Amino acid sequence: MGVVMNPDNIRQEMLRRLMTQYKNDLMRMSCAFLRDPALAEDAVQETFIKAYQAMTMFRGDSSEKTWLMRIAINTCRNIRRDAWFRYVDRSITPDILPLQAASDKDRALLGAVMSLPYRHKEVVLLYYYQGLNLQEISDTLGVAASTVSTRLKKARERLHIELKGGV
Amino acid sequence: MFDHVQQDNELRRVMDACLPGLENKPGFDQNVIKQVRGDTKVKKKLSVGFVLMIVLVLTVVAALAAITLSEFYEKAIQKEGESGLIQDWSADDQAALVDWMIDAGIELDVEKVARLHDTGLTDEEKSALAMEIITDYYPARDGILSTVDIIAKEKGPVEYWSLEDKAWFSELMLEYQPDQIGGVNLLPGEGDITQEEAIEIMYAYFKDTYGLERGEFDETTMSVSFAEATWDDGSGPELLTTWGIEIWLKTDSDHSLGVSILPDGTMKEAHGPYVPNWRDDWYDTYIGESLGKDFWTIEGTYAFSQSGWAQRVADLQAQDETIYANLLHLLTKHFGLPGETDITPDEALLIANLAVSETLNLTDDDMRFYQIRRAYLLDDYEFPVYFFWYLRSAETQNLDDAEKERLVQMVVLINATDGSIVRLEPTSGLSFAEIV
Repeated sequence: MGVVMNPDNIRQEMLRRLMTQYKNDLMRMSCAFLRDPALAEDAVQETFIKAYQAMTMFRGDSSEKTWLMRIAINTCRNIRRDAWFRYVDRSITPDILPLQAASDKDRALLGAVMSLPYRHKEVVLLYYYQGLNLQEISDTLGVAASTVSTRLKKARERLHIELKGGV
Repeated sequence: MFDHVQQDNELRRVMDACLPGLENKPGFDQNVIKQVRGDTKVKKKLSVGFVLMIVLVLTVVAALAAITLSEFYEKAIQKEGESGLIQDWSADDQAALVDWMIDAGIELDVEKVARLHDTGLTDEEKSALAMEIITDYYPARDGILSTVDIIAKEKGPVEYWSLEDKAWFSELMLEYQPDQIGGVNLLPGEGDITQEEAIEIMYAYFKDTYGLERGEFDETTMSVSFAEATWDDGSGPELLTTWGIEIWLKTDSDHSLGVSILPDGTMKEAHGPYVPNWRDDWYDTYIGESLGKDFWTIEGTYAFSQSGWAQRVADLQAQDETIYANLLHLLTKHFGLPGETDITPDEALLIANLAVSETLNLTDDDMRFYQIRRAYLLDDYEFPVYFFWYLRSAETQNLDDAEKERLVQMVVLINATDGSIVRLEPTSGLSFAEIV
């Protein structure tokens, strides 16, 4: 005879699976957004709690990963809350965040990404770190795919200038 | 570094290597589970009489429209400051938000609202029902809703709010959520240039600098703010108030132009029209946008060879431009299309796939984790060859290390005339220049 699970247990099992699968990536992405490991850990914890609470409302409009990224992005935004007003903060360096052993080249790339304007950083991390495609990023951020494409292009321009990289 | 495939590998590698994960926090999962666990309550049915009574009460309440929309927004912002996003509120608070919506004269599903006030509902049921009512009116995908989304239903996207609305919102945020804002919207005062003057300064700047006439701008896209924020040009943070204006050209809906102007009319910062450069064009070519097909296909590499890049690169080098090494290398290759006497591309791919799978002892399922770059090369040997470059696809990031290691990256060259294998070997090269 099989074990029948009640809805709460099913959700908790799903939550455990989500944490196993995504928590490390989310932690690193949150570090890149918030530049503070303690804040990032809070953000990841809050993300999973919100995900658990929102599970019953998850209608499958998007993939599970896109849905979770959307929660994470909004959580980091709430913590940072600079998305609605124009301002410039240029005092962004990777030195605020204690990096694990990193070569100069790695620090340069990470520093360049972390110095991107927030909206560009979001699309770069979702595209290159989380591996989402343009439509998935569009669903995550709630903006048109053309806007995502434009932000990616701008980000690449800035990164090219920062790093003078080649193909 | 920003090759279409390299980018995700490179950034992922760097971030995984440099930034902390949660591997050293073994209690993290259990801590989260503890926080989400709660008791459940016995369900009760809703009586018809009770529903009718609630409907009557709510009808009367709605008719009175006890508070204005602005007052509703303020209550929501205050609560959001106390309890976070609406989905994080208690069930009672979420139900209260529904009541505020009714108080503000918003028409909602009467039956659902009636059920919401059934005292027999569990907290979870009440929360789910309240969120359903709220998100039916204020659309929020997958349960995420903030007060700005609520206000945007009436006022539209925040970028296009009036200065007064932006300043009002800033005031509320300062009062109830002071830790959440990075800049403060204000209203201009005596001595400050007006919005109209700022706009004229913007147009004059773009005309003088870029020769752009006013009629070339799409004024319906203009967004204006007057805000105080921290600026730092490297010499230390400075609190400044500026007019911020963003606008698009009629001919380019992808790239905005913008200015930041100090209250005395001095231009603080501006970004002008998008200027395509060869790096962007190369990027578009390499991701196939301007070729109209994927670059790393036989047709794509052939299209590249016919696209005029050789001459363009020569012209750029004459201007002392530094050209990407990979682009230079690609230009040394003679890409072609198979001839009538050649084996077909599909036949060549079958041969290559079989060789790779046998060499690495892989199944058909394993092989789907490769993305295969292809080309038809004319001058590398005395005969034309099909080039196949087996790279791990993005899906491999979900595999464990042992599984990934089996998927060795390979290069295979097949003689196009007789199908013999010319080259079959592993490669760790990340650019074409390192492979062929």
